Order: sequence, then C-alpha cells, then structure tokens
Amino acid sequence: MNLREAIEEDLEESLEGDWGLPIILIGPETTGETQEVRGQVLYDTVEENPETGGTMIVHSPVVTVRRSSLSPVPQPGERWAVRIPIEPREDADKVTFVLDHPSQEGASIGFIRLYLGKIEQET
Amino acid sequence: MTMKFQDIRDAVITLLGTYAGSDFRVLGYQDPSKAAETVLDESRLVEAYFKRGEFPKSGGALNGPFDHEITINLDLTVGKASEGDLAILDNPSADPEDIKTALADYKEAKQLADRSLDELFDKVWIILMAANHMDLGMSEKVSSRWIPDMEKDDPVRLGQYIILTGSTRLTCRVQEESTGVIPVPGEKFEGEIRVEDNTNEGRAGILVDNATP
Repeated sequence: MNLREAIEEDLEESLEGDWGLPIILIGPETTGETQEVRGQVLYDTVEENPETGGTMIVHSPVVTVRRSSLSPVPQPGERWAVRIPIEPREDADKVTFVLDHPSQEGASIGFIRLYLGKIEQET
Repeated sequence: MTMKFQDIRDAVITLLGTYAGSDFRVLGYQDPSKAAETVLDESRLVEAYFKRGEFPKSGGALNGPFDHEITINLDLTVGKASEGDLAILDNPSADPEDIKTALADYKEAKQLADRSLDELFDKVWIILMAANHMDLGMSEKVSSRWIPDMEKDDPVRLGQYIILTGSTRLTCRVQEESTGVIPVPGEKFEGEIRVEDNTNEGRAGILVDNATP
C-alpha cells in the first residue's frame, strides 16, 4: 500500500468514524440529488481581517469530507446546499447553508473542504 | 464662531440622516472597526466626514474672507448573506425538481451586495444633489456643490457574509472668516506706562488691567 492509499484509508476513521458528524449534501442545481455522508465540521474559523491584516475568529462553518465518499464531488461555481448539525452532536437538529466554494483539488490528499455561506429566508 | 467647513460637515450628516429613513445609517466619522453584522441589509452604512480643504491664494485674499474648497468624504459599506427559499430542503421526501428550482433560484451574496451598494450610491447622490438641497439645508449660501465621482471596491468575505465598500465625495466652496484670537479669560497684563504731563509737574502713572472680573 502506498502512502496515498494509506492516508485515504485513514480518513475512514478520522473523518467518518466516531469523530465524524452526519452531513447532508444537496446538489448541484442541475440534478438536485441528496447525499448523506459523515465528516468533520469546524464551526468557527480563524481568518485574516482584510482591513487590519490581523487574525480574527469568525462563525463560518467549514465541512471536511472524504472525497471518495462523494459522488458527484462539488465543483467551483456549482450551487450546493449543505445541511449540518446545528451543534456538534450526532442527533442535533440540522441547519442549511449554501456552498460558497470548495477547496481546490490537489491541495490535499483524499479529502475536500467545503466553505459554507449563510442563507437568509427571502422575504 | 467656528470655521464653516464644520457647519458643512454637520449639514451633510443631518441631510443624509433626515432622508435615510430605514434604508441606511449615517455616521459622522470614520469607524475603524465595523463588524459584518452591523452593516447588513438595511443597516448599510454611510460614513460622512471632512477629508480635505484647500485655500486658493488670490490677491484679494490677504485679509479675508477666504475661499475654502471643501471635500467631504462619504464611505459606503454594505453587507449581505445569500437569500432564497430553501425550506424545501428540510423535507426528506421533496421532489428533486423542486430542489433543483430552489438551488437555481437563490440569490448569491456577491450579487446582492453589489446591487445593495449601487442602490446606496443612488440614494446618497439623489439626496445630496437634489435641487432643493443646493445649500445642503443650510441657511447661508454654499457654492459649487458637486459630487465628482463614485468608486466601488472589491468585495471581501467576512465570515458568512460578503462585505462591499465604496466611496464618493462631495465638494463645495464657502467663504471663511477669521474672527481673530479670543482673549483667554484670566489673562492679566500689568505694567506702568510713563506719560509726560506738560500741565503738571511730575509724572502720571497708569495701571492697565484687562483681566475679566
């Protein structure tokens, strides 16, 4: 088994095992399909403040899922909705976000990060 | 008495505030730290502040009044999240066609922020350039009121929101007058001035005291 295969296999435990949370991916807009997978959810992230260059913590969820568990894999420019637990509990209610952008392919081995954006109910 | 540029600044802030209604907020200074949540939707922000003054020198300007060309900066900030109706996604047995429609129809934050800023430019320009606001709501004459440009910056993502900023400026001309230095209360001059008295022998002494009681 080469290193890439070993890493990919490890993701089953590290992303999808007991550490993972239930995630629902819906999309793209051309198919409207639903996929239920397990993955990691980071609820708050550290970002650079564009005004000051300093770091700040923002409530902007990022979901990490195993690429091989997805079919199809979200691509930049596609419209997806992602439903994640409202808090890091297996049975918590889910809340819907839209996909802002996925991480670039090639920047990681075996997994993809989904950067989510808030959606407000249209009035 | 203060210089008139301060009156102009206050008049612009008052004028924008009066007509802002619930469409936007007006601040009379630059806020260096704005949280994304504070500029969302109708809380979009206009910061109006004095930026620059020029005093063109001319032959007749030595003693005043002095022409003052004023620039009031107007910084605009809007924030938006995506908007749409994705309630259908809560239903596990939803029809894929309805899901496709919901996903295709929601409006992305980038587009909404762009339109929101355009609308804000529109409102600010119309308020400040209205014919009945030629003197910016002041009782005295304001010359050459003008908005020379508008500029939009690049959108930035701040957490779950898109923040978009832009700027415009209002220029006008007023005449300033220096009122001179106001005496400092309590300042006291004391001294003896010798004055020749030709009618009486000797000399006369005068004590000068300009202190306020």
